[in-house]
Amino acid sequence: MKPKHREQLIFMVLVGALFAYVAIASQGFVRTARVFPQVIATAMLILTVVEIVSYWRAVRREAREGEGPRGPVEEPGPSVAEGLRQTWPYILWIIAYFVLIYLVGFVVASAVFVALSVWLIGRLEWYWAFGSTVVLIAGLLIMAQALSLEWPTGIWFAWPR
Amino acid sequence: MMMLTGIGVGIIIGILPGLGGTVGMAMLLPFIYGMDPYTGMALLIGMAAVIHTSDTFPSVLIGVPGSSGAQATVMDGYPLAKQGQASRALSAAFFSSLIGGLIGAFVLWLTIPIARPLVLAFGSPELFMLTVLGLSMVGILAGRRMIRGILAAGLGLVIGMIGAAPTVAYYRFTFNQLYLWDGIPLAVLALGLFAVPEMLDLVTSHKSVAEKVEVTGAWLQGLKDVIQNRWLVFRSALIGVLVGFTPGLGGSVVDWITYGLAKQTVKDREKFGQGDIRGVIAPEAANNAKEGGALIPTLLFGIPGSGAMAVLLGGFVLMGIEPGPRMVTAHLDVTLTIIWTLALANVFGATLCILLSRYISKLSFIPGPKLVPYLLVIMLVGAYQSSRHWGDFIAFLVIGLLGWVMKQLDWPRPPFLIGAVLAEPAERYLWVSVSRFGWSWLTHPGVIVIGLLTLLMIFMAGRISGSTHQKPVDGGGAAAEGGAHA
Repeated sequence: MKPKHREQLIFMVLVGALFAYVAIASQGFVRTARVFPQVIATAMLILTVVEIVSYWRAVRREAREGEGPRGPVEEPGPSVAEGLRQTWPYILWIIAYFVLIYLVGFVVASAVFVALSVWLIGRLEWYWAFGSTVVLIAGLLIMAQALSLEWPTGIWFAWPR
Repeated sequence: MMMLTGIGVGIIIGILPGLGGTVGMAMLLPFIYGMDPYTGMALLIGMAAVIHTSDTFPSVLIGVPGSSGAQATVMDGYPLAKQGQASRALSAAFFSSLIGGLIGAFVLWLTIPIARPLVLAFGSPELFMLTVLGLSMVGILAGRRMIRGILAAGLGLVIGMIGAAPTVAYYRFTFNQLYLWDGIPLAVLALGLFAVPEMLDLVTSHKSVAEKVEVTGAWLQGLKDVIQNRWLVFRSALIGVLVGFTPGLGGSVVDWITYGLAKQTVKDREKFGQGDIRGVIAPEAANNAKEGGALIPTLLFGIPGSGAMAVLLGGFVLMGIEPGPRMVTAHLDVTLTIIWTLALANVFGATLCILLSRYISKLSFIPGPKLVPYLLVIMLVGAYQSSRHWGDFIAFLVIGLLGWVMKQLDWPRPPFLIGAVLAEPAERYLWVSVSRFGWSWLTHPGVIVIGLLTLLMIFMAGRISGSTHQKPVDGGGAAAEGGAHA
């Protein structure tokens, strides 16, 4: 079985598990709040099982007889694992940005994040990187004044609100 | 002057992904204290009228809907940008928005005296059936993976169930988190589902949004496209007015309905989802026309046709006006001011956007790693305005990663969003219908008509999925990669 086929099946099982959880958890709700989640979750659970079975059969048929008249079971493209190998540094970089927001607040964290990102990752000249960051932050502050925008302040210091 | 201020704010809010009409209206509301109704309305309506014009910029250029009404525009607008035809897509969108907005204002003017009996004829059973009609669109949007489309809509329905139940004071799936009591905001959901996967792909591929060089003067082609497809513009605008006019449906489905109908009814639809200009024209004409329709129940009955209209009602109260039948008698001058503002703002807004489009189109040629950090900051500002809680950031990231996995595995994401949008009204209207009528509501003539229309949609979706080998309609990058988006 190809990696993407395996990932697809795992994802479908997880989706099915979520619907099963919704169906079971909603049994504890009051009647009026229970009916809709139970009907939806049960119907979706049945459909998930149908999709898993038909997908499994299609994958096995493709392995046995080759590609069918409606094309391959999976469109060509990288698997989740392959994609994740390329993407995880950027996901971690974004999580680091969120941690920075928590520590020093949105505006300061954004200034640091943008300047470093476009300088180091985007390979922009340092003066463009820092100049454009100043313009972005100035724009945000003006917009915040005009439109009453808010953003989180940090636990280390609370400027600007 | 106030109308122009409103237009300026509306254009900016439309360009910023996640800040839709409701947020924009809410942001301006504090400023109308002390204004007379004419000035205040000019500010609010001027803003509301152009949001669905300028929200095309992010939809086309970066594959992220500028507001909930511009989700379907991404599907063909973004692939066109990737083919180097951003100016053509933008100008076609602006011209069709202009015409749609004018049709909306005209219909508003025309229908005010005769709308009352029709609005009152829509009860909860008919409104429930309209949500079912909206959900039936997922079959069309899922391509040959219809069951996956329905499952994605099911996931959206589950997300839409988080928070207070619409029928009783009971909180579901909140895990004792205060943030989840009001559910996950639609703006956060849409941004996470569509923006994060696209940004991750842009930054990892080190590509710019556009893959070809832009054709100079292509914006005139957009005008020609609109003229060539004038009946599609006219028809989509009328559907937009009708959906806007129907209280409770809101702007989040109008673009999908018109997109789905356009896809079903036009000839040579193979390129839909891969850069067909008609996929831009139909939703854009509809989402501007919708504002005129939404104002009808808002003005005449105090029934908001969308979230933005609900905030507008607050604006009326702030200015000492009570919406209702008196809007066509004692306050007729205010009503006419609103209609004129709506029409003029559409003209000014579209003109400004057309003038700016050549310059803003250049955004699509900036390499991803240079563009993404700025976009991420702006999107986080937009996401945080939803509930001003740290949960907005966390939900943005978690849903974003889910969207990324869905994109990798070719799961269509628009049905997910449609499910989330329609979960609450579907449950509420179903409960009210059953409580009020038992199961006899199924025999209501309006219910039967809408039900037949829904079955027709499902049948057509089945035929389309059976006759083509299309990939699922998906957002952002998937759209441009030959698949098709929110």
